[in-house]
Amino acid sequence: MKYQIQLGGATRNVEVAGAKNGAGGWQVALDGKPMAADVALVEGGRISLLLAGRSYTFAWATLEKNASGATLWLAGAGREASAEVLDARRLTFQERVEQSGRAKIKAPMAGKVVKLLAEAGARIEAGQGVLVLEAMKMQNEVRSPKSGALLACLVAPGDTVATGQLLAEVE
Amino acid sequence: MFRKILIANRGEIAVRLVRGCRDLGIAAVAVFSDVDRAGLHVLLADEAYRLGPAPAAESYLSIARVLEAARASGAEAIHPGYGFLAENAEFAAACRDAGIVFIGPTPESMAALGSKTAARGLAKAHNIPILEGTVDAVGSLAEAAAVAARIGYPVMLKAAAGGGGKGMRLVTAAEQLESAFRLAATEAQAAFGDAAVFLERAVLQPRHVEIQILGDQHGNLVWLGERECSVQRRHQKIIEESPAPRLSDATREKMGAAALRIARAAHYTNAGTVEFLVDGEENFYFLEVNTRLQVEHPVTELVTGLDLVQEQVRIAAGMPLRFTQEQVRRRGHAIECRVYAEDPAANFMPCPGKIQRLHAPGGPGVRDDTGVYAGWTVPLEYDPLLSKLITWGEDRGQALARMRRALAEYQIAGIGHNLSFFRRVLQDGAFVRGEVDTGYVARLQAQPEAAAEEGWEDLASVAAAIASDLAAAPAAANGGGAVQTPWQIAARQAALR
Repeated sequence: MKYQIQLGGATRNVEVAGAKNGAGGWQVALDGKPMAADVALVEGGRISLLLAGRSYTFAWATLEKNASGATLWLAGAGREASAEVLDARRLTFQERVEQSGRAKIKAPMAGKVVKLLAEAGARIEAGQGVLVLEAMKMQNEVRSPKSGALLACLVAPGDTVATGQLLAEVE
Repeated sequence: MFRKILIANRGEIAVRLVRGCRDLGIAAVAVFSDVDRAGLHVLLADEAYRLGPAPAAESYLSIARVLEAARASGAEAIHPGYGFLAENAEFAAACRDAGIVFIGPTPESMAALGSKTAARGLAKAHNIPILEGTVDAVGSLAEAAAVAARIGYPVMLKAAAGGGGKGMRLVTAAEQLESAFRLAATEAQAAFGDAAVFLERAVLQPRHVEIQILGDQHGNLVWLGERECSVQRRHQKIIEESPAPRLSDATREKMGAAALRIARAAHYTNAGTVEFLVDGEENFYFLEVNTRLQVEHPVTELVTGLDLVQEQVRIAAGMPLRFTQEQVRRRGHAIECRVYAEDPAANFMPCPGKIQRLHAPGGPGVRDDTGVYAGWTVPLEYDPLLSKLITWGEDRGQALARMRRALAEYQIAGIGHNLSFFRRVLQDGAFVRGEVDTGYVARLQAQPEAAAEEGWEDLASVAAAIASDLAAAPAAANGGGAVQTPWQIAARQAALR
C-alpha cells in the first residue's frame, strides 16, 4: 500500500508491503528509497521495528479519522508527534481532485502561524512553502502538494491553528 | 493501629495512599466522583464509595459527603492526600468531632501555619529569616504603596490564604502597584475566598528549597533533608530533586534547624514541609509551611529509604517515631518529573482526553507513581497530573542518566503531555550543571529548540505507514494470535479439551 505521511511539516511517500500475517519481513520504500523492515506486533497499538539491525518501538493511537485519511499519534524512539496519513485509495482520489481542481492544505500539527510565504493569487509550484507554522518552538514550512494558483490563505500570522485545520487552498 | 483508612483524594496520590495502606495490612477505602468511577484508585482499593458529581465542590471538597462515606465504610481514619481538603483546618476539626482520626497535623497547628501572614509572624517571632515586608495583610493600597516605597521595588504581592501561585503578582515599579494590588486581591478572593494579600521584598530568580519534617504526638521532631523545587512553570513545580545541587552543607543544616524551630513553635505533628527562598548568596528566607504530604514526597523517600505515608499513619495512630534525627540517613540522589497532560508549546495549557496507549518505564532506580492507565480518560475537572516519574542514583549523574533512560522509554499516545519537555531539560547544560532558579523554565523556553534527531521523522513516517497498514487490515495483522479476542481464545481452548 502507498501512503502519504505528513509529519513535522514535511510530506513523505511511504510504500509498504507486509507479510501475509502482518509480522515478519516487510518491504518498505521511503520516498522511493527501498529498505527492509522486520515488524512484530507487540500488542494492540504497539509495533517493534528492526531496521538494518536497529531496534525501535512505536506506540500509535488514532486521533481522528476523516474523509482524507487519518491522524495518528506516534510515540517512539524517545519522541512523539502527530502524523496525517493518506492511504492509496484516498490518495488516488486526492490526485484526481488535484488534477481537476482544488487541493486543501491542512495544518499537520497544532501550532501558531509565524508567517505567510505566498500571497493569495500567487502561482506556486508543488513542494513550495506556503506558510511557516511554529509548534513546540520548532518552525515548520507547510508546503503545497500541487502546482497552481494559491486561491486563498485562510489564516494570518499570529493565528493559532488546530491539527487538520484548513489553512489554504490551491487550484 | 487502624484497620481501615478512607482516602479522601483521587488520581496518583490516592493510588499511592492505597498502596501505603496495603503495605501496612490496612484496608483502603476509595471515594470517587462520577467521572472517576473507573479511576485507578477505585480499581485498586478494597472498598469504594461515590461522593457525587464531577465538580470538586460537590465531591472531593464536600466535607459532609466525605464524612458520610467514612461513616458508611466504618473507616477509623482519613488520609486527605494533597490539595482538596488536605489543608482545610475546618475539615480536620470536623473529623475530630466525628471521632475519625485525621492523618495530618492538628486543626490548631494548621490554623497557626495555614495563613501565610500568620506563619510569617510566627517565623519572625522565632528568629527565622523572612523577607522584608508586611507581617500582616495589607489593609489598603496606600499602605501597600508606603511599605513598597520603604523596602524598595521590586516587591511581591501574595495572597495570605494562598498557594500554587494564585493571587501572586510581581511589581517592579510603583506605577504598576495599583492594578497588581487589585488583581492579586481579586484572584485571591476567587481562589481562596479571602482577598487578603501581603507584600514582601521580591528576590529575583530565587531558588526554591524546602525541608521535609516529621513529628510524632510525643514531641519528637525530625527533618529529612531538603528538596530543590526551582524548576517551575506558572509558579508550580514540575521537577524536584534531593539533595539540592549547589547548596552547602552548612546552609542545609541551618535550614533544617530553622524548619524544626517553626514546627516546634506550632506544636506540629505528622508530615509537613517548610518552604524557603534561597538567593544567590545562599541567604534563605522562610516562605510558608505546607501542612500535608507533598506531591514530591517520593524524592525524600528514595534518599532516606523511609515510607512517609506509613510514617504518617503510625504517627496518627499515636505511635512514637521509630528513629532519631541522628539515625536519619540520606543516601544518593533522587529526582522527580511530574508528567502532566499539558502542552509545553502552549504555555503548559492542560490538554485532557483519552489515553489510548501507555507504556511506563521500569528498571533499576525507576519509580513511576501513576494514577492512569491505557483507556482512561483524563477528566477536565481536576489537576491533569498523570504520573510522577522518580529516579534514584548513587549520585546526581546516575539519577539523571536513569531519568533520561526512563523518559525515553515512556510512551503515552492519544493525549498531549510534557514528556518531550522533560527530555529537553535533562539534556540542557545548565540543568545538568545544577544551575536552576525559578526563572529557569522561561529561559529554556526562550532558547531555540535543538533540531530533531536526524532521521526521526523518516522513522516515524515508516512507523505511521506500517501502523496504518496494520490498522486497515486488523485480521491480517494477526501474527501469533495476539489480536484474537479473549472469547475466541477461550473457545479454541475449550475445543481442545
